[in-house]
Amino acid sequence: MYPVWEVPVLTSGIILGLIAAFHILPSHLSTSLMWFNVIFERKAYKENKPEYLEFIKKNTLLLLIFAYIFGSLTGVGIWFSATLANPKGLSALIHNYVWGWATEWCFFIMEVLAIYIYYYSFGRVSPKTHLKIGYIFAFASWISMVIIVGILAFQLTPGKWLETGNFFDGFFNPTYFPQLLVRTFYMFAIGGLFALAVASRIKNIEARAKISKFSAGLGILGLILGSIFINWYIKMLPENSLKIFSDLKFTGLYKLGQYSVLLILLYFIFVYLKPRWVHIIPSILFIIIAFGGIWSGERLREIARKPYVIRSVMYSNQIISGDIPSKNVKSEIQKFNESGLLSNFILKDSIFKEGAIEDKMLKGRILAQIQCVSCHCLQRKGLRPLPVLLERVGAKSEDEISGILDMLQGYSFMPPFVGTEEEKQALSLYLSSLTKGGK
Amino acid sequence: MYDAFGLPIYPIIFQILMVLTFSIHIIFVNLTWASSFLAFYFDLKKEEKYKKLSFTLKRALPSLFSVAILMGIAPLLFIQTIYDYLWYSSNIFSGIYLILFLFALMIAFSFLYLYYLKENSPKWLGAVSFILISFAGIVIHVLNIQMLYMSKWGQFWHPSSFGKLNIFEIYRFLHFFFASFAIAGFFMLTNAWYLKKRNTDEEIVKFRSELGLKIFFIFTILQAISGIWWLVLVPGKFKFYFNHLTITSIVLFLVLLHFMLKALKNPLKYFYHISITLFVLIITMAANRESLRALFLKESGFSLKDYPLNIHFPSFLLFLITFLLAILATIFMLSVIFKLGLKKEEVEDTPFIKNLGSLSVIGLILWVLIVAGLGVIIYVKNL
Repeated sequence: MYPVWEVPVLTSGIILGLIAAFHILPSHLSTSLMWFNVIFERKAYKENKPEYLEFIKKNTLLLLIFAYIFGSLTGVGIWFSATLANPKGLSALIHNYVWGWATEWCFFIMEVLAIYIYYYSFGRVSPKTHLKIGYIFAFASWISMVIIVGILAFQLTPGKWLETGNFFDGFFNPTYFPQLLVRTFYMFAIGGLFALAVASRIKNIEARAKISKFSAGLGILGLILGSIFINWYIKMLPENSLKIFSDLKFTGLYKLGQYSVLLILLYFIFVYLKPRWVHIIPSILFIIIAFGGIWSGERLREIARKPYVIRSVMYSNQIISGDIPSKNVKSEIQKFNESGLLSNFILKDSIFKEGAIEDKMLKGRILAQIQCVSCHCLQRKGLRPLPVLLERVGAKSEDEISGILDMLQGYSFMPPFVGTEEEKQALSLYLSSLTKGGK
Repeated sequence: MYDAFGLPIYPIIFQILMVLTFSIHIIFVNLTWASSFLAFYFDLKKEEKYKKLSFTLKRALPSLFSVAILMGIAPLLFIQTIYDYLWYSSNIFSGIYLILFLFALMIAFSFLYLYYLKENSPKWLGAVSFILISFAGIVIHVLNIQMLYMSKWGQFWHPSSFGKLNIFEIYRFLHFFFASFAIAGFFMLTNAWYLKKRNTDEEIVKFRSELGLKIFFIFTILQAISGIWWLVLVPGKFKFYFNHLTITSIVLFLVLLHFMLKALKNPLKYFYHISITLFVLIITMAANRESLRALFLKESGFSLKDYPLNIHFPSFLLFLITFLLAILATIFMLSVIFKLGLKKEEVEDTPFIKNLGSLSVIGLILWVLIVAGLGVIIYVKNL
């Protein structure tokens, strides 16, 4: 067992969430914006409208700078922050899907080369060759989404993989196609917003209006179809996910998502009707609103997976919860309940030597770090603060907290406590020290 | 020590891929690192030829940076696959520095764009980028060393640690630092070779090739010295001196030195000899680094031979086929840019470029169709 990086107040889980949600903006921009480019580049050559080329050039620079500085680095950032919040979970994903990621990387190679060469070869190669480079980028970028969705959806619904352990059974799992379609259509809405921001800077008024109208139209289509496919996605969610949603009522997150989609839809309709009125300030404002919508969608997707990092396989606190006979993987629950979680802690030899193992408080502290801190902060103020949550349910003393730890078995969104009775007492002692009126 | 899900293919495949991709990654990292400093340094000079050279570097830096990150993804993936236990532990010991690493690179990357795109951009943009990239280099250096010293892990971590950089080996760091200037020197030499093909003014070609070779030569020697320093400090029990990869590296270094000395009179005369020797040397050094890591880890009882296996060939095949497609598209795009660079006016399509471009696009469409078809069949079957 690895420790988890403890971030006071915020938690390492939310750092991962923030980086991952931010990553959606440049990554979905990257997957969608080139389609706008190839469409308008074809039009420019076919209809002899060189004024469209200004839009394409500006789009490309936006892709180069925004998508390739922030997209590529936040992509790496997801790995880094996942390492810090849930190393064993990331390890399990990588050991099952390393060739998925490696395949995605092949498409990154095509994307990066294509975007630079597309930019530098503007007007200097034949239109056909330039368009081919554009298509390589557009396809490669979208395919990178085709791949990563397989891994993301696998976490939520591993499906048949639980029996077979087969790469492709896990990849094409029950929520794969609905999620891919939702993201594919919504990406055109995100791309549409960026395209409006870019179009608003074009000097030629006619071209600006035509591009804005088209982008808003594509955005409307993307939002409507994406929203339709969300219903299919919800239908494919496991029962436990729906139970969490109905038990916990994430009204704020739902509203954030719904209002963002609605507001953006209204903006697209407005621009569609009045394309000459497109302006940079509202366009940027709506990109910020889109971030709110993305935050809501991504958080709800994460919540739907609770209490697992891979459903039925690994809890969000890194403990393997189920057997996968085809992979020779066994649940760790019984083993840890009998022999102790700390006896499997990576630093057990160096931290607990020379009698320190007797230090009950230290043991409790480390158990809290392994089992609690990726989601809960240990301070009174912050994200899901453990001291306050315990006080709210009236658990302050060791015995009361120990009772709560026993009750975790019955929660739909929390993993159960795993460890020996002695470890439970150590964790209760430590948590009790955090509460007012506790030890 | 080993992930319960095991490896989907033999560890040697991951090691080979990791060494190869790391070699390309480190070439571009080195190039970006030293070039950001040299672009700034030449920018400070008043002579026009230095200003022009600075602009060439500025222009190249954003794409070099991008390729460095792109090529870093693969070794980062493979290190997590075979050295997961060591890599993840080391990462957690340095928590906050991983996040700072990301911000440092984002700022450096943005600054390098500003440095290139803005006319008369402030010179400090180059210097700050260099400092930030150096910081990122230090973080990665520390992560790679922390993972080797398992016996010290207890000192590296405590429950409320926000993350620390626990260990730093100056000789090892300098070995990479000097290499970056050597590679940047070689890049200038390559630039001169390319300019000569474009029939650029001979004075510029001469200036860049001579300066490039000088920087390349001096820093290669310094790198060799730091390499010997490192070699001396490797625990004697490993007998690393007699490792066949160490001996091969030394021999290749001497061959490179020989060509560099010969090239001093006419830098471009031995360009191909130098390029090939250098590339082989870099791969050999990267492989040697991997063998040294294995020796360190064996001490702590970690061996890739013990890693459980859950072999699955079809997914590996998916990667290989996609990799071939990526090579095809890469050859097409590099042919376009190479041809483009040689002329100032618009270039015409050759049949080679035309066919390769069409094949690449068709390949991508076929990829989508085959994977989607396979996906639908599996999806419906499993419902």
